[in-house]
Amino acid sequence: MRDQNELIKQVLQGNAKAQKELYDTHAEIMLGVCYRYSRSLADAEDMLQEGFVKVFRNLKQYKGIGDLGAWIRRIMVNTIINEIKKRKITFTPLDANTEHENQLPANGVEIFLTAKEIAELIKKLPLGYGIVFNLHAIEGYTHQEIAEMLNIKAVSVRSQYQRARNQLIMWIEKENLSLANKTVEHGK
Amino acid sequence: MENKIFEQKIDEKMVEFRLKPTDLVWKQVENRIQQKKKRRVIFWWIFVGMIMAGTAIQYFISNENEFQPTSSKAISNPKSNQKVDASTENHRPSSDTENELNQLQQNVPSVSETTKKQIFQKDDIDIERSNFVSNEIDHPVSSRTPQENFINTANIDRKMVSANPQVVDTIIIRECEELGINSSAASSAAVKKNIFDRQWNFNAHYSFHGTGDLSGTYIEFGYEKKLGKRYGFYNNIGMSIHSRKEFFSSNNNTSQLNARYNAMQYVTTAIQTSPTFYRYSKRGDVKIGAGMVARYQTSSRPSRYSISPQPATQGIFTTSIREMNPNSFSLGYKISVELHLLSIKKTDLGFQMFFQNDTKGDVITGFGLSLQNKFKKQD
Repeated sequence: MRDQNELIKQVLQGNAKAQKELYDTHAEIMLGVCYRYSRSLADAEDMLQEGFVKVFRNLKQYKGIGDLGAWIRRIMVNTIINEIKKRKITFTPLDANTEHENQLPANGVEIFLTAKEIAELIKKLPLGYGIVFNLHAIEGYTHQEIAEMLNIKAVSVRSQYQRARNQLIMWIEKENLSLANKTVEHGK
Repeated sequence: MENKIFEQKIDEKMVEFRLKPTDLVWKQVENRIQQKKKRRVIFWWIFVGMIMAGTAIQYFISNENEFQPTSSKAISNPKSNQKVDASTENHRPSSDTENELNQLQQNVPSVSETTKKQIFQKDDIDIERSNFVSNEIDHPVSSRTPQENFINTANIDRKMVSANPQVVDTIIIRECEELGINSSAASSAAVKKNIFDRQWNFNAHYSFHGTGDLSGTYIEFGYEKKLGKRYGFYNNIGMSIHSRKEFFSSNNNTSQLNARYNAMQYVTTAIQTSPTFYRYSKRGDVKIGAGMVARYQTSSRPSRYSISPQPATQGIFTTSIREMNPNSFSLGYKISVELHLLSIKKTDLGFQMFFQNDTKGDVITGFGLSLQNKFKKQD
């Protein structure tokens, strides 16, 4: 693995091997990011393609400050948001149990699920909720930042996030219970 | 205050979440990056081409402007015998043109002074033409110095041709005869205009496709129509065939094509048309052209093939896949320069160079011979 600065320099010079190396290094983790926001793997790959084209076209703007992976991830998330904005984001009502906006206590929740299973649960959320949850819980954006990104009110972001969070906790607990039952059955 | 423990747990889990994209994603990304580069290259070549064309046109125009003050100087200074003689030397006609002139003299009846006046009065006579006619009346040929007569002839050559070319030619010839100078020297351009206004062309070039990596031949048949003294419009159809043997191996990096061959020979052929406008130099021995190109190309190169480099780590093989469309249609521009070498009767031989660039990003350059058969359209 060559030095990151050297790799960037060669990519900027148009070296095809360096471009491929940069792509290979980050493509898998970025597809994981795209997958959480999309409806299908094909959708996620389209977003990945769009994101990497932007990465290569804007790489000269990367000043070498901070991790390159984090910079690529920011471009990828912005690309995803732009793609999603083209569609209408809806916040359809969730299950009746999650309609309260109070935060469910989640301190005791253990997560035995794999990353892929968690991603599938996030994808089960209606699109608007899924985006808000991803942006806040995983990408670390504040409610205000998300509100600006999606052109909605910060209050609305907060309430949508709480609903999404509550729904996920319920699903995770349900999955945990199901997993525990399976383990007991195997034990017998 | 939000309880962040749940978020931390989710984040920790998701850090390790990866999915392997299909190879198609990279190919599409690669294609889109390359396309942008190609567009940049095309833009650059168009830019350079326009600068070259502009410079060339500027050069020819400035040469023409330099000629006119020389004539004016000669007009204002009748004593400049040497200048007149030098101009005459430069316009020494070929024996072929002289024959044509003699024939023209026999065919065209003599023109009286009254007829001359009628001819010019019929047309939209500008100030210079009026001056010429009044000059003819006030200062008949017999009372003028040879230099003054030559000056008149030069004026006719430059300004009067459009009035009635045949009669003006006759005037020039007769005046020159009286002066004892070669009549075709002053009027050759005007006479030529009437004799040869069309030509068939056959061009054969040694040419290069791309940045010299494919070499071959370009041949072209065309038809040119003169537009005035200094311009021509040329339409044509051309065919090119270029070939290359591409090697995939070197001493340091051994690669194989489809895990079997280390080189590939391929041929690219094309048919094209390139309508071109030409501008001739003052003496007619150099012409520069610029025009559009419409080109259809087909290549024997496979549309998809793989290259397998020697593995850097033992046992780990990688394959790179190359894709291209073997058939393509493209538009572009073409710039050419031609130098006249020799004339045999109505046939000219020239040396030609050209450069063309199209929307596919292909650059084709070539040099070779141009054979031209001149004729006049039958009225």
